[in-house]
Amino acid sequence: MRVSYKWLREYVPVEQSPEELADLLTMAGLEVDNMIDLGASYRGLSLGQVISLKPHPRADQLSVCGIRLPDGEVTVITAATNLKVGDIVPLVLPGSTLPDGKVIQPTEFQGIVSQGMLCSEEELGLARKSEGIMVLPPDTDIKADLPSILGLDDHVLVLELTPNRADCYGMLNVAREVAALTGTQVKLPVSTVQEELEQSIHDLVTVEVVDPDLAPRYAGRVLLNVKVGESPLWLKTRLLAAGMRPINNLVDLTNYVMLEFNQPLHAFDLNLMKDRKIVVRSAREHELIQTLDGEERKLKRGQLVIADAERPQCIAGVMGAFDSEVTAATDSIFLESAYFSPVSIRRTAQELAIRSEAAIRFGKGLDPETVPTALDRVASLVQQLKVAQVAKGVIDQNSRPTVARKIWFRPERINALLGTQLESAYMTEIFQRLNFQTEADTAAGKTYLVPPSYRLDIENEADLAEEVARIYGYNNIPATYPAAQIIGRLTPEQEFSAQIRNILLGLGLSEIITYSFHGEKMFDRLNIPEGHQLRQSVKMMIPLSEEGSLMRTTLLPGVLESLSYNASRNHHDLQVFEMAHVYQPKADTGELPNEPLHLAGGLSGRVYEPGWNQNNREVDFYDGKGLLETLLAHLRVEGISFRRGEHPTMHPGRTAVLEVAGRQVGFVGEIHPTVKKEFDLTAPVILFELNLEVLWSAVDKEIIRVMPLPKFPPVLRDLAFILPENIKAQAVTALFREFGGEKLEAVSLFDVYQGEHIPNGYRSLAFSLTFRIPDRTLQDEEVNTIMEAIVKAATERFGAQLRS
Amino acid sequence: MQDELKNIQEQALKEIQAAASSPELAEIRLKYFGKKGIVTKYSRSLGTLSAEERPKVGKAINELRQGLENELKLRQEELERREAAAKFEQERIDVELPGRRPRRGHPHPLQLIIEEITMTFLGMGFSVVEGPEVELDYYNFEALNIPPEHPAREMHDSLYITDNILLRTHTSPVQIRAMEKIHPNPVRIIVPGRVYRRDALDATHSPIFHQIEGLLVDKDITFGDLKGVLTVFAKKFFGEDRQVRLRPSFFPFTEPSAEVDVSCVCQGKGCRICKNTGWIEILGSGSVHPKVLAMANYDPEIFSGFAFGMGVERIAMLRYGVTDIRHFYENDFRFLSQFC
Repeated sequence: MRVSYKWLREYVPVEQSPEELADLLTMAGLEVDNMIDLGASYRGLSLGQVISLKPHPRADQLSVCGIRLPDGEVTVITAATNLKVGDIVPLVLPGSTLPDGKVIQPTEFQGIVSQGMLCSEEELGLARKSEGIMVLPPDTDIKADLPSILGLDDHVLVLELTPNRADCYGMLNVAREVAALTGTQVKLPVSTVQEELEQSIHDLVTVEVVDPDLAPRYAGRVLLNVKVGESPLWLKTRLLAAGMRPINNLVDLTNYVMLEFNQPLHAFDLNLMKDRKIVVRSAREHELIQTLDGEERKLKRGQLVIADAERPQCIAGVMGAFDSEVTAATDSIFLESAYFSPVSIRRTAQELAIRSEAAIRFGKGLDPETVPTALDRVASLVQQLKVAQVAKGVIDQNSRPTVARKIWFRPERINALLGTQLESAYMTEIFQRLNFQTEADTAAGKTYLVPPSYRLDIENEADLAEEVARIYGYNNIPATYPAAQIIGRLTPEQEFSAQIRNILLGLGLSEIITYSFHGEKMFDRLNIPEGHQLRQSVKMMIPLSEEGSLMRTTLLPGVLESLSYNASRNHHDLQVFEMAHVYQPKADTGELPNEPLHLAGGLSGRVYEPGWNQNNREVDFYDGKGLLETLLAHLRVEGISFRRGEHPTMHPGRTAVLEVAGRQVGFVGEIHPTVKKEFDLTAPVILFELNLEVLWSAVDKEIIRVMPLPKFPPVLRDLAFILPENIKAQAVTALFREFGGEKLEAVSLFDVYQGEHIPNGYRSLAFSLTFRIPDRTLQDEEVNTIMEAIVKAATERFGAQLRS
Repeated sequence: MQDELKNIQEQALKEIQAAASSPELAEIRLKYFGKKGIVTKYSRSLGTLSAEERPKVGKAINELRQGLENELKLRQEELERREAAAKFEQERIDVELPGRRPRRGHPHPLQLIIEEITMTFLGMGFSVVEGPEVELDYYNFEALNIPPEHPAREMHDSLYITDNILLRTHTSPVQIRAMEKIHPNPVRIIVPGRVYRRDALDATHSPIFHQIEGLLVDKDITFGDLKGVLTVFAKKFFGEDRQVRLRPSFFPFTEPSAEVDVSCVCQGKGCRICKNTGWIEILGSGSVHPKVLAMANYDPEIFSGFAFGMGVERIAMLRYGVTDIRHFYENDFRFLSQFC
C-alpha cells in the first residue's frame, strides 16, 4: 500500500515528518518498507513561458518556440500545435532528465538546435495518453517549483502490510491508525448525495443476486447524463502517488474512493447491459468473457460473475468486461459497491492468474459496512465534479447477518499476558482511540469491547492485548526473564550425532548439506535397478521440477553430486560427510513415512594433504573401512561385523556391509565404475552410508569402568602363516583366541603379503601376539606350548604353513 | 723433583688446551694417567723415596693429578659442547618449509549457526526437539490456527505428498507435537530443522532451508518474558553492544506477535545490509495464540507462553557475509574450507 503523506494529512493532522511518521507506523505494526520522494523525479523539469512561436523554415510539422526562463531564454523545437504565445509550459533543459529517467541533450532539427524539450502530460506520467504540450494555468509563476504546482511535492510511504491489517489498504484506516497513535482526531469525508433526478433506480435497472453466499452484500446506484472526460489535476496526482494511472474521471473517482475506503467499486455502462439487468451469479462452465485487458478468458462454475440478461460483464471483484467498460460514449452507469466472499475472489483471481487492485483487496477481506458508505462517496464526488447526475434510490441487498463481535475486557488479564501494570483507565483510553465501543453488562459485572467493523482481525482477548501493547509501545514493556525449573540438555541420541560429527571433522572429513529430494533419473544414475527397495520413495503430488520430485531414500546422491561439483572445478581430493534423514514410505500412504537419520560419506583422491614431503597415495577400500573402524571404536559400538556384500552403486568385489545383531547398519566400499563415470569422477572414490538409528542400538551405553593396569610383563610372539587365500584373517584370529584363552591379551595383523616366494592362490598373514596374565609373570614354556598348539591346529584346519 | 712436576704440569696444561677433539683429549689422558703414563710413573716411584720426602712429593703428585684431572674434565665438557653444537649445525633443517599437515574437516556454516543458537538456548534451559519433515496438514496448519482457506495451504506454495500430508513449510508443527507429548508439564524447547516451500532457487530463495523454532509454555509467562529471553539471545549471538527492538507483526499462531530486530553493525549510519534503516530483522515471535494452546490441551486461562522462529540461512548470510543462498547447498570446497 502506497500512502501519500500529503493525502494522509487531509484526514488527520500529522505533525511528524515523513521519516518520523514512517518510524511511528513501523513500530505500530504497519511496516514502512520504503519511502519515496515523489517530487524527486520531477526535479529535472523547469517552467517557462512561450514568448515567440514561428513555423520552422525547413519543416512544416515543426514550430520554433522562444521560451522565457526565470534566468534567460532558450529556443525549443516542438511538433505540438496547441501552444500560443503566453502559455506556461513544463520543459526539460539539456542535461536534465524526464521523470522516466531519460536525459535530454541539445538536438538539431533541420538546422536549428532545440535547447530542451517541452513536455506533454503523458511524458510527465500524468496521463495515459495526451495530445500536445501540457499548459499550466496562466497565473503560474515560472520561478515556482513544478512538483509543488502539480501537487507532487510529496512523500510516499510504502507499507508492507501483514494479512491481519489488510484494512490499511484504505487511506482512511491508515489515518485512523495514525490518529490512535498520536491521540488526534480523524476527519472523515462527508458524503452528501443529492438525488437530483426524478427517475428511480428501480425503473432503470433490475438487480438479482442469485448467489448470496458468494456476494453477501451487493449495492449500487445509477448515474445518468454522464460526461466522461479527463480528471482534474488533484485527482490525477492522488492516483499517481498511490501508484495508479489516471484513466478517465469516472474510473479515477472509483479508484480514488477504493484507495480512501478500501472498497473497490465497479462502473458498468448501463446501456450495454442487456435488458438493463444485473445478475450476480456463478459462471457457467466454459462461459467466455473478454476482460478489460483484452484477454479472452474461459470461466468455470463457482467463479462469481456479474452478468446482464445474457452473459458475464464482469468477473466479480476481479476484472470487468471489455464490452461494458466506461467510454467517452457512456451516458448512464450502474455503479457497484459490494462485499464478495474473500475465499471465492482469491480462488478465482488465482485460477485466472489476475492480480488486480480490486482482487487483492477483496481477497484479503473487506468491511461489509463500508459498502454503502463508499458508494455514496463516489456519488457525492461525481456530483461535486459535475461528472454525472444521480438517480433516485439505492439498491442494497444485504444477506449478511450482522454479528457484533464482543470481547470480555479484563484489564488485569491483559496486564498478566503482557507483563505490564497499566491502569485500566489507560487501556480504556487506548480502545477509545482505536474506535472500540464499550458495552457494560452490569448484572454480570462485566465489560465488553466491540471492535470497529473494519478491524476484522480483532477476535479475542489476545488481540486486545496486542492492541494495548502496540499503542503503549512494544519497547516500553519491561523485559523480564522467566524463572526456570528445567535444565536444558541434549538427549543421548543428539549427543551421539554431535559426537559423530566431531569425530569425523577431527578425522579430516568436511560436512556437507545437500537437498533432500531428487528426481527419478537419479536412481538410474546410481545404477539402482527397477524394483529395488531404494526406489520405494515418498513422491510429491506436484513435483517442484524434474530434479525435485521425490524424497531421497539414500544420502548417496548428495555426496556424489558434491564430489562431482568439486571435481569439475578441478578439486579431486575430497573427504566429506552428510548427516541427514532419508524418507521411507509406509505401505499405507495415509501414514507418515519413516525418517531414519543416516550418515554418508565419500573419500576421493589422495589420502594425505598434498605437500612437498607427503605420501601421494590415493584412497582405497581400507581407508574407508579403517575410518569407520576408528569411528565405531570411539562411539563404543560393539559387535559390528564387516562382510563382503553388495550395493548396486558399489564395486561388487570391493564392498562390505556392516551388520550388528543380524541387522544391517550400512555399507562401505569402492564406487561402481559405471556410477563413477556417470558422475564424471576420475580419482578413486570410497563411499559409505550408515543408518544411525541401527548403529545407536549397538552402542555400549554403560559408564566406562577402567581396567587395572597390568603389574607383570607380557610375552610377545610374532607368527606368519602361508595360507590359502580364502582363509579369512578373522578365522585365524579366532583360532588364536581358542588356544590362547585368557592368556592371549591381544592379536594384531601386521602384514599381508602375496608375491614372490608365495605360491599362487596363497597369501602370507603375519600376526603379533601378546600373552599376559594378571597375577604373575608368564613363563616362556607356557607360551611355547600354546604356540605349538596354534601352529598344529592351523596346519590341520587351514592347511597353513609356518613361514620362517 | 718439584721442578720436574711443575714442568710436567705446564706441559700437560698446554696439551690439554690444544686438544681439538674428545679422542685427542683421551690420548692426553692416557699419556699422563694411563698405566704407563707420566704421572702414573711418578706415583709408582714414590716407593723409592725416603720416608721424609714421600709425603711431600706424594702431596705434590696428588695436587698435580687433581689439577690436571680437573682441567681434563673442563676441557672434556667444553669439547663436548662444541662437538654437540657442530652436530646440531650439521643436522639443521629448513624449518620455514611447510609442515606435514594432517587433514582437517570443515564444519558446514549452517551447522555452525544451528549449534551456536541451540547451545545458547540450552544454557537458558531449553531442550532440543526434532520432528518429522514429512508432516500432516493438521500439525503444519490446522493446529497452528492456519485456516483451510489460508494462502499458505495452496498447492502452489507448499509441496504436498497426499491431500493431507506435505513437506512441512516451517518448524512450527513441532510446537504442537512437543506440547502434546510434554503435556501437562511446562515446555521449553528449541527445534532446528529443514523446511520446504515451493520456491524457485535464486540468490535469496531455496526450496529447502533451515529454521530454528523455540517454544516456552508455563504458568504466568508474559510478553515481557519473550522480550527478556530474546534480548538475551540476540545480545549473546550478535554482540552485547547491539540494541534489540520489537515491532508488532502477524503470525496466525501467535498473538501478540512481534518481529525482533537488532541494531545494524553500521550503528544506525545506514548501510546496504540494513537497507539504511539501522535495523536488521532476525526473527519472528509472539505469545502463543490461545487457540493453539487450547488445541494442544493447555488451558489458556492457566498457561501462557511464547514462540519464536528464525531462518538459519538468513542468519548465516548476515553473520558470514554470504550473498547467495545457493552456496550453502553447492558444497564447493573453496567455500566450505573457509569455515573452521
